[in-house]
Parts: sequence; C-alpha cells; structure tokens
Amino acid sequence: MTPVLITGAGAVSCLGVGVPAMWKALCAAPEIRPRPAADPGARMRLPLIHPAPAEPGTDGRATRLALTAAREAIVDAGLTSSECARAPVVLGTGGGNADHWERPLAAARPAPPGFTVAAALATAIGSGAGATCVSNACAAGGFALAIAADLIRTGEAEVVVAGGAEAYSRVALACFNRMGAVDARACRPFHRDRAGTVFGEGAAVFVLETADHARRRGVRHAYARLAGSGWSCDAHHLTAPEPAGSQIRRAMTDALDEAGATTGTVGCVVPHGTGTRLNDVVESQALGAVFGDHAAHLPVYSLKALIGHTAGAAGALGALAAALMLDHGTVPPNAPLGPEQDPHCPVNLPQGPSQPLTGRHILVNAFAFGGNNVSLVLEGSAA
Amino acid sequence: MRADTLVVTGIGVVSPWGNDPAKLDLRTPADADEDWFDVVSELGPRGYKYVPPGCRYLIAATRRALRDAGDAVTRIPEPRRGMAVGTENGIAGLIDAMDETVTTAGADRLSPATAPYFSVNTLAGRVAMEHGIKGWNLTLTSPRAAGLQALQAGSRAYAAGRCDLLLAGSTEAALPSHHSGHSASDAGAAVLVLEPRAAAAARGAALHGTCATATFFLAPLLASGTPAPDALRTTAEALARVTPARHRNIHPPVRLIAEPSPVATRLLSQLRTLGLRTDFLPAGSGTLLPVLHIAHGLTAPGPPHIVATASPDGTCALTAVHPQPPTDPTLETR
Amino acid sequence: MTPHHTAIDIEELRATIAETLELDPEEVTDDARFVEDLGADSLLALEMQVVLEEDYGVHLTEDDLRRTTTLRAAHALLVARTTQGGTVS
Repeated sequence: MTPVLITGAGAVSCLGVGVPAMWKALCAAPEIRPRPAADPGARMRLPLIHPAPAEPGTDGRATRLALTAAREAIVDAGLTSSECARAPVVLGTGGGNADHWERPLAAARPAPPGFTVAAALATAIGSGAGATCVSNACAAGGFALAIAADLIRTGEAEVVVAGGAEAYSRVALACFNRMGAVDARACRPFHRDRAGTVFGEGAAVFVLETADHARRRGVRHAYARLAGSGWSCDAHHLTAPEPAGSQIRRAMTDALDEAGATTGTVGCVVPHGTGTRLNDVVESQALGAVFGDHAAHLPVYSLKALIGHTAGAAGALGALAAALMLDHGTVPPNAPLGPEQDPHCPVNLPQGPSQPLTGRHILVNAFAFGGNNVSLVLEGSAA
Repeated sequence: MRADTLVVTGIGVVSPWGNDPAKLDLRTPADADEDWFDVVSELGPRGYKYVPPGCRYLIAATRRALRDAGDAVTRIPEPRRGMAVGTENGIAGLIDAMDETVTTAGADRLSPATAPYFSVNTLAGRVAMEHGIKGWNLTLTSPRAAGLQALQAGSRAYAAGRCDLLLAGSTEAALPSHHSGHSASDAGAAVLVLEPRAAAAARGAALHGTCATATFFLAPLLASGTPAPDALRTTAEALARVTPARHRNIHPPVRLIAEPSPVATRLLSQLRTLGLRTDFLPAGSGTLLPVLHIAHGLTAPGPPHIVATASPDGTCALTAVHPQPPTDPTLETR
Repeated sequence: MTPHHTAIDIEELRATIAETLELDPEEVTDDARFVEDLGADSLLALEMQVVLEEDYGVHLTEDDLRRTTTLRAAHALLVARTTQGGTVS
C-alpha cells in the first residue's frame, strides 16, 4: 500500500502558535486553567474555554486558526506554489465559523456561510485541486486526515493539505452546558471526579504526500507516516457511547490492521478521552480489549488534559502529538493525576519525566456525537 | 483498491417539488417555507417531536431510497454499511433559534432533548441508528458542493474497502426568515443507495444508473481577474476523471447549478471553452439542488449528462450521471 | 397552562408529561417509571425538568430529578414545592 508521509505540520492552540511551541509545552506539561469566554452573549453556567491566539482579520475565527496552521505546514514542508496548486484541501471542523453563522449580537451584521474553512485554505495556498469541509463533530479532524490518506492511496492526489480547526461556538458550549457535560474545573480525562469536558480552540494542519512525491522534490524530513485508519459508527445514541464499545474497538483494530501494526508494535495511544464520565470508561475498557495484556503497560498520552477538547481539531491535534512523539522518540509526561485516577479507567498515564517511546506505531482516537468514530495509526518514518 | 463500479439501486427524495424523483419540476421555483412536508404521514405519529426538519427530511428520504432499493440493506452486515451526507444549512435555523434562547433567556432554557442536534453530524447519525449503519458515517459541509462531495467521498471510501453498501445524498432546511438567503433556501433531502454492480446483479436489483464525481477549486480572487493558466486544465482534468476515455468524444451536456458569482462565471466559460453545451441554473441556498438534479436524471433512460456546481467561495464539483439503460449501446460498460 | 397553581391537577400533569415523552396520556399511568417503563433517556428526563419548571414555576434540582421517577412522584414533588411557596415565574 502507498505509504503516506507527513512532511509538514502547523499548529495553534492554547499552547500558542507553532509546532515547536506545542512540543515544548507538551514536554513541560504546565497546568492551564480554562477561562470564561470573552462573549457577552454567553448566558450559561460554565462558559469555559481554552482560547487560542487567532490571527487578526475579517475571516471567521475557525478559518483564521486554520490559516495560521496551514501557512506553517506549507513552509515547513517547503511546498512550492505549483505543488500547492495540485494539493486538495480536506479540513475537519465541527462548527465551522460559528462566529459568522450564529445569530450576530449586532443584528444588522450579515451572516455569511459558516463552513468555508476548507475553501479559505484552498484560496490562501493557491490550490486548484479541491476543498472539502468535513464536519463529523469531534471526529472531524481525524476523518479529514483519513480521507486525505485515502485520496493519496486511491491515486487521486500525490500531495494533500489536511487537518482540523475549531473555534469557540456559543451554541455548542451552551448545549454542552444544558446537557450537563461541562466540568466546572478543567478537562480531566480519566479523573475520578471528572464531570464533563472543557472545550479548547485550535487547529492542526499537515502536508501529506507519497514517498515518491517527497523524493522527487528532495524532502529530507518526514515526521511520520499516516499508516492506517479505521472508521466506524455506533448507530446507538446521538450523544451516549455504545456501552460495550464494539464499534470503537473495530475502528481501532481496523486502523491497526491497515497499518500492519500489532498490539506489540504500538508504543503509545493518544485517546479520545474527553473527561465525560461514561466515554472515558468505555474507551478504557475498549483499549483493554484491543491491547489485552499489553494494555497495562501501554503509555496513554492524554492531550486533552493539557489543551482541552478541541472538537473538530482534536483528531488532528492528537495526530500531531503522535507525529511529534514518533519524530522525537519520546512520550511527554501526562498532566498529573496521581492517586485521583478513576479505577474504572485503568489506563497507563505516565506522569513525571518524559520517557522514551518504545514501539514504532502510535494509535490516535477521535470519537464524536452521532457515534462517529475514527482511529488513526501513525508510524515512525525511520521504521 | 476495488475496481468494481458502484451502481445506483435506490433513490429517495422529499422536496417542495414533491417526493417522486421522476416528477421533479426543478426549473420552477418552490417555496421552502410551504408546509410541504407532513411529518406524521412520512415518518409516523411519534418519535420526531425533538428532531429538527433537516433530520426529518433525511430520515424520510433514506426510508424512501431503501424501499426503492428492495432488500439491499438487509443483505449487508451492519459494519459494512456506510453513509455520506452533504449539508450546509441543515441545522442553520435550529442554531439560530438556540442562539436566540442562549443570548436572551440563557442556556438553561434550551430544550435538552433537542440539544444534541447543535452538531450537524447528528442528522446522519440519527439515520445511522435507524438502519444499523455501523460501517461509518460522514458529514460534509462545503457550501453548494457538499452533496456531490458526499457522493465522491462515499465512493472513495467504497473503493478503499470501507463498505459494501453506500448511502449518499444531501439534506437541507430553510434558513431563518431574517436571513438574506432565506427566500432561496434549499429544503428537503435526496438519498441514493449505491452498491457494487456484481452485488446488484446477483440479487437481481433494478438499476437506475451510475454516477462519478470530481471536485476542484477555482480561487475566487483569480476567478474574474487575471487569467489563471492552470484553471482551465484543472477543470478539464476534473471532467476527464468522471468521463471514461471511450466517452471523451460524446461531450455530454452540463447543467451548472450555481448562484451568479465570479467563480460560476469562470466555470461556465471554461465548460463552454471545452466544447460542452452548458445550461446555467440558479442554485438554492444549500447543497441539495444539484443532488435533486442527479436523482431526477437517474429516473429516466437518457444520454449521459453532467451536473455541476460552483460555490462563490471557489469550491466546484461535477458529477457525471449515466442513467440506466444507456440509449447508445456503445456506452455499455463492459 | 397557567403557572400559578396551588393545587396541582394530576390529569393536567399527566397530559404534560405524555406530551413531553411523546406518549398517549393513558400510557403514563400513575406508577409507570419514566426510564424503565416508558423509555425516557437522560436527555428526555432533563427535558421534563425544563418543562415542569416552566409550567409550574418551580426550581428542580438534580436530586429532585432523580427522585421524580413516576407521575405519582412528580405530582407529590410539585405539590410540595408549590405549597411551600416555591418561586413563581
């Protein structure tokens, strides 16, 4: 199967702008508290968010976050304008430019379409090859990357620009408040006292290409390969996970199979783990079922404890964390949970100093409302 | 990658033009606001109180498509069923109403049972629950083009081995009445059932035809200004991707469904430059109208034709529609 | 429906709950359990809380919600709240 290389990356989140800033923060694991949204219309009990620095401009906020990440990824990969022209854009976002399509507080302001993030990226990089906006909620970024890999494997494209972006949405946060799914303190996946999630803003965008294409243009560095994806749908409930986790298990095993990975070659998992009570238990049990004896020792890196739940960007930011771990050969420390880890979530969350990555694969999960699940497997490019 | 072509074996439509895909008079205007959809007769007496219109339409169109396809879905194990849906404004009215509640009375006054639908992918997620679609579920939202992109993404997922049965289509609901695009709102849903030709033949299914989709991008900044030398090649390549080599000399007619914009103007002129007879039809606000044209085009035998769309933001897509049976025996795909 | 009850009409309450759960009033018997017998999920339970708060002008806590498992329990709770002079919206 055609290998898909990750040769460029860009990111923005509450950790700041840029991939180097993100890796530095991952290794330092600072405690970052969410803040009340800077929105006078946010009439809700817990208007909490991890804001990301959006560049100034008149575009919607999700577009501006995506543009920041995309520009970095293009420069990082060294793509020329003629290469960009042939690169389709696939961008995941749950709510798109929510600041545009939600009712403007200023009634006279026009309400332009919300899901123009992929098109804005295509315009900015000069792509002629297409723009697809994927909106599978909190799995959107993961699906966007999986679709990008399929575009390459089916021979439709040699190089793709893909990722995820999510900005504050008043309605989304209000609905999470109404459903009792926001934690008043922080995003605390696998914590005994977790009471819901906390959203974060962010974007991660990648340049993906065939090994041939990379060789022809003299690429010297690839972070990792996007080696496989597994897709599934619970078809169970709009918001609650299927308790047995049969479909998330299938997404994981399909992704491992497609990547040619075995449970023994996986050195880390970046889980979906949002801090929602039932979801974290179901995912922990599914990891136990997929990895068997290996599960107790398999490091799990809980990115959302650091940056919040970045929804449509979460799968892409999770994939970026995985790519950086493979590139550095290091698993950064988890945000400290200590003895407060939920015994019903028996996953291995290494805390303390960074540790070396053992195993050449990393599994990344992104699950969503509607029971939409996607798992990605990344492989070290040196492997 | 799998080479077997997908064939359309089921079509389901609910729309202001009626629910019979063969009888859609899509060139006359239709009012999205008319009380054209009867929940009780389409869906049943209960269970849909909290389900927003964009989801009701999709449920109804999917049921109709699956009825049309006979026993297609029950033959396929749940994990091998996939669904891709395009929607731009499927929840726009709901979001607007929720936002009014949040910014005035506050989030505590939101309807909890409706709250999940703030997330646009729950429209297709709800349909997946009804039909055990456990393979995967994709929601695409690119303005205007997402319905065609759902066909494309779904077909690609099939080619990559991710399903053995595909449902693909579009759903839209009327924009809020204070929205500038309200009067041109798309409303309704169209769903196609697609399966491998061999599987359809094996179960003796009636075929409606085939469709193949390509997407491309014409940057709006270049669209009307300085010439972009590659843009014509981009469009020509997209056409080539959906037209088998042996059909290249046929020059199928094109229906371009778009609102006037520099992107649409450029695409229209490109298609004509490439020798294709192209009709320009006004788009609604949404992703549905191009899919309705495909659904309608598949209901009657006729020559291959192309349905194209262009969003003012630059996203373009075109779908080559081959109704079954072909009128010209040289078109037989053997 | 007026929010100024002091006596709670159980038939009115039955109709309200039936409408919220999309059931016929006859199905909402006095002791049918909303979740186990009538198929309400956690979001519908929350929905019922919002509807009762609006219709009867009371504030219900999560504890109230947990205890309100049947029409009879809901009626008793609302009677207690409205006669205690619970907030009238």
